[in-house]
Amino acid sequence: MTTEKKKTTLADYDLVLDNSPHIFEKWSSQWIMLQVIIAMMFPLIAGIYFFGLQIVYLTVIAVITCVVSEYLYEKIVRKRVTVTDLSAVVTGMLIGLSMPNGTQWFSVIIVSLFAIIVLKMIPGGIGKNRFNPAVGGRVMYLMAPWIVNTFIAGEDLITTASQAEAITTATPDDLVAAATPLYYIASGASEVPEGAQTLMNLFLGNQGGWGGSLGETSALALLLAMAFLIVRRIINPKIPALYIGTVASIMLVYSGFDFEYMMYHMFSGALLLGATFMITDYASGGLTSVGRTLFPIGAGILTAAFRIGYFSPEGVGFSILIMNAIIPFIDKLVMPKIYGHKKRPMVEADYNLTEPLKKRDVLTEK
Amino acid sequence: MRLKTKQQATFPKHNKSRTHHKQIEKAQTPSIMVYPMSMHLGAPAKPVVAVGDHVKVGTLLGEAQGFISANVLSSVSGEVISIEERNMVNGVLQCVIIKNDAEYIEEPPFPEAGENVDPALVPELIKRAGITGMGGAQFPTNVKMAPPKDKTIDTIILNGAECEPYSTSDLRTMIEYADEIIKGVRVIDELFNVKTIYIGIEDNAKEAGEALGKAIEGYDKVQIKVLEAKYPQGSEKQLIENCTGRQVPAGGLPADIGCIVSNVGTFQQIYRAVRLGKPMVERVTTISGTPIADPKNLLVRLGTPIDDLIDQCGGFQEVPRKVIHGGPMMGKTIKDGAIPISKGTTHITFMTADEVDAEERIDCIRCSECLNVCPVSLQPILISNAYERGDIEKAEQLGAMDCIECGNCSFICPSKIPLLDNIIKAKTAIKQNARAV
Repeated sequence: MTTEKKKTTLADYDLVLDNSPHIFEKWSSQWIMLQVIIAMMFPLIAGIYFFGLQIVYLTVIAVITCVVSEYLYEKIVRKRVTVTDLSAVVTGMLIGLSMPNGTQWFSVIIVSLFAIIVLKMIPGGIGKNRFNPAVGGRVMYLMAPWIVNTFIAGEDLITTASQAEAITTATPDDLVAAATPLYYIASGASEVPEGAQTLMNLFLGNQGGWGGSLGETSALALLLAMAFLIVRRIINPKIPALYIGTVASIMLVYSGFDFEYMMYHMFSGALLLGATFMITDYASGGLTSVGRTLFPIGAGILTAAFRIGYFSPEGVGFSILIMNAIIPFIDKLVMPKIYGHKKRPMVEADYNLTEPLKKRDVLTEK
Repeated sequence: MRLKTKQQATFPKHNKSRTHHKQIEKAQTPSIMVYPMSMHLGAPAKPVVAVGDHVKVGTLLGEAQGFISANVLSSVSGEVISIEERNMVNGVLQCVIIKNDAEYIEEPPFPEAGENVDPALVPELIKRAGITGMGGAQFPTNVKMAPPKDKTIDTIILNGAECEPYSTSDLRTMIEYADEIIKGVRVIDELFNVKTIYIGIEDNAKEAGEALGKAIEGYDKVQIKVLEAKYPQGSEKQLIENCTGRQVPAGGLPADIGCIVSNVGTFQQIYRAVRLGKPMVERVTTISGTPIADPKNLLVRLGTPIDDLIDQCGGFQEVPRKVIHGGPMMGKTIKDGAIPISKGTTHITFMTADEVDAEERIDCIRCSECLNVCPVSLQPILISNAYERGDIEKAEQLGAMDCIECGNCSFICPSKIPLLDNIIKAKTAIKQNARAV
């Protein structure tokens, strides 16, 4: 061989051996959570406009409580600290947004602790919680007066017809779930009564001083948030569309095709907040494609039933929790049919068991 | 017409723009050539030469052993200087090392080859030529072309859907050898007399479609299917479904549903073997990736060590950190530059340290993206969880054995869970359990 420029060989370089694939989609779970946080800025800003800075104050308290309690829990049980995945921030913000006007700071702390410790960390942390922590916390808060009164005072406050009346004459205090314009049309009404807010006001967010949860006030802000999450490909548009569509169809039929009545349902209460941030939650939603179709339909039917019936004017939280509870069973029945097979697999596959955590091992040899 | 396909997929960056327009160049052949006794799927071949033997281009070096196996032939003329075990892409293999005399004296063409070959001889000629599938899996082509007698083959599918990033070897082969490919198709068509022939290409391979379109003029049963460019569009099972609507039954072969599928380049080799009597001694390989200064599509003699191709592609402009035999989705990493270009080496991908992702794994957030991108509709996270808990039986029930190892699940996972690694480990464990019983 003639002597020339030194030949380039692989031996001169420090190369790694690793398993395929060698490229990855440029995203991460933190990035996903960050997008949800950005989306929540829309209802947060609307909340500031209509209710002032109390929404910021409550949201900050909720976020701090969620992050600190997750951190401390993981320290105490000696688990890897996961607060950097930002999911606790998302839960805290959602709690802040779903608290009613006039909520006290200590209520927010209790709800946040319940959400993170009881609903998220004890079942195993992120991804293993069967119930959406923020929704569970919110419903717990809604039920609190009933629990207090039933078991302590012996009264039943949640019966909505009387509650709606009570609220028209009294300002909502911290223990009572805030009234929303939904009270106008809830509890069996099948048309929008005189004196209700105009649809345009509801859409923009002016709920006429009725309160309602701080973050659900403006349908416009929530639709913007939803659009943002869809564009960022964080949520599958099919999920909110099926949920809203189901509720809308039932309301339309129930009211004898009263479009205004249907739209009133769309723009009031937690429907859009739930459709954007709660029903689309990964951890407590469906895993399979069919599961992710049935979840919003089931929740939509339940929400409509709650709103039409006399149980509660606000069925969003309840319906989501009920679906959270049954979706794992649905997922097992509708596992996707594998290519080349005739039947769906039928396996008792427990997603929710804790798994050992290993780091991605990159083999490096010298 | 571009065909939208419903199959679940991912969309990795193509990274083909540095080589897709570059004409195939003949690579220089070095003085030392390496021939592993397995450049195919199945049993390794048995060396039939001894140290000191003189060989020609096309001389049999290793003879196929058993039913699924392929011959290994010399691609140069020269002298056998060693027969030794070496570490190759798929483990340690016996290799015949030849000192190239740079004369390239050829063995005479197969005497039976020509325009009017008895179709019954076609698999035999393919076997003699040492042809395997050229899309990566290296399945012996003669076995594929001799399906069991009870199977009726009514469809031939040419796989030109080159879905691995960086690879442009099939693209250039289709553009520059369209005629030879179609002549190879006619050989196989004579063998089975099929109803339909599909050529599956991706919609980013327009030029290939034009070249093939010209080559098939007047050959009415051939249809070019322009498929959406997504990964893994070129996976055999997915291509069959997208072209014919049929699904290969679990554990079965394409022949079970009347299909013969092979890479476009394979048909070129079939033409050369059956009509010209020439063995398979070279292939087109793309050498690409950020570290490579002048990426190319090279026509390389099989057995050329990778080290001898780097300087032909301008050497390194950036320090490589990972070298992949194949593409970044399914390829295997290597660090030994003596590993040669093999029959299924579509491309060699080089990556810089920046491109070598090592993000830390975090917990699953149950986004269900791995289910959404699995082309065979598995639930990768459930299989992975089952494996990590040591529940191999559950992994099997969940369909681990149906995994085609395309890597989409690991690619998409936002929590960077090594889903494919776990599924492959589960598959290995399932096979071991089956053997133990």
